Amino acid sequence: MNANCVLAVACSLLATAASPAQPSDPDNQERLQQLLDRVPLPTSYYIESDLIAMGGLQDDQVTSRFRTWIGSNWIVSFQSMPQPGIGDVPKDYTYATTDETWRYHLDRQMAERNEVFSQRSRTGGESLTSISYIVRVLRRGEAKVFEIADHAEDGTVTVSLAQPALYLWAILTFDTATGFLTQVQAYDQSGKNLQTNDHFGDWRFLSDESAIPFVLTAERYLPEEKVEWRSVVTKAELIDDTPPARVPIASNFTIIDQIEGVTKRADGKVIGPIEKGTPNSNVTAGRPPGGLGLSSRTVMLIGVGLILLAGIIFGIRRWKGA
Amino acid sequence: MAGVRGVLSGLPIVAVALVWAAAALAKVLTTADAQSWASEFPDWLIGVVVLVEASVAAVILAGRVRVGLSAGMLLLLAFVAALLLNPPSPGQPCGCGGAVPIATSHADIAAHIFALGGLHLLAGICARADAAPSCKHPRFHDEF
Repeated sequence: MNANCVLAVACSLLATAASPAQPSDPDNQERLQQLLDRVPLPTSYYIESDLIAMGGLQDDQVTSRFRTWIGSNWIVSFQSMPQPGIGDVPKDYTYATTDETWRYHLDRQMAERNEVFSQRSRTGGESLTSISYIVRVLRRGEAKVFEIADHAEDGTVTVSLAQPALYLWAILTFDTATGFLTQVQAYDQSGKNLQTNDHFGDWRFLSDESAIPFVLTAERYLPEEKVEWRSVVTKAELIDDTPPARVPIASNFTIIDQIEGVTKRADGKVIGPIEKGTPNSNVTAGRPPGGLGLSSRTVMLIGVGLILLAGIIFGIRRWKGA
Repeated sequence: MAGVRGVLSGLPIVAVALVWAAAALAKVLTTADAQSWASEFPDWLIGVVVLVEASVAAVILAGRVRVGLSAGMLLLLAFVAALLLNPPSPGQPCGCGGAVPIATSHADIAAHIFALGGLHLLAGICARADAAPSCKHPRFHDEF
């Protein structure tokens, strides 16, 4: 986006910030649906992708591998984590349809069953592999569209909207010529603080004229740091719009069944009711759990102080000893 | 006056011992989140770490300060090596203190290692064999 575009978006955000409950303009909603229809995503496809860390201790390392089957109204995903000297260790399996959503935590012999996908049209980890969930959720027509602005100078259309299942407040950028969704910037409720900045690039056409982005770059602005990663698709192919059969659950797994409200064994034997407050991990947490209260900057300053103190004591001792 | 200075200068040494003791205790009393970095290691290794951490604390409190501090520094270096060999994912909590959320990001982990390294350095300066009287805590004096 150029400076004019940024200014226009900022003005629209300021204008809408004054009246957050402002109803969505029906024309804008219709225009949004037209823009979504132009995104040439295939109806159903299979991808293999690598999640690669950017910056930090794991810079440029593959931290997870995904095999994902995506359909019009379902998603199946398998996540593994490469471990040095061991290979890919199975981590997570998600099977989500409009009937039920399963998530197997393969590393801790636990599974969850709920209706998250039918309620929200997405799963928690989907944003790590594809952008189909964005289009799927917005097609529900529940988004509050604040403004749609055309930017002839750079050939883009920006849409500012709110959709609780996706974003409190976000600006989506579409390429006018191709229809590609190229960027999503999500803000907090005030519309002032950027929380995520995702770019969808390297769009490639598949055999049926549909296309998907092969590189998803994500920036997450956490309270203390910016976390970045990119997801690179290594294989993509079209498939039938029928989900593969769900992988049978291993006999040693415990199932937290949110639909029936019970915890049970893999053979179906009920262990007991679900403890009140058991979190539903299929809903993505927007941020990691908090620490002890001291910020990393404070802890770092304490470290600097301790080293300085050590240096001062050392210096005084040398001086006295001289 | 010398007594007060002695107590004050002994604080970093006691603090190092308490930190390692607390780390060991937290791992024994609580279980790290299954999504945490620590949970990626086998249980037996966590058990060994708990044993070493508790030993470092015990050795320092028993008066073998230099030995304990050296072991503590080695433990810190081993921790750094583990982080480099098997880095945590972005946003993945450390799990270093069991379920106690000590560090929840790369910046947190780096800051805590840095601060703990600084504490060891300060304690080491205070525990030097050729230290001036102001840096000797009566309790730890026997070793020298």
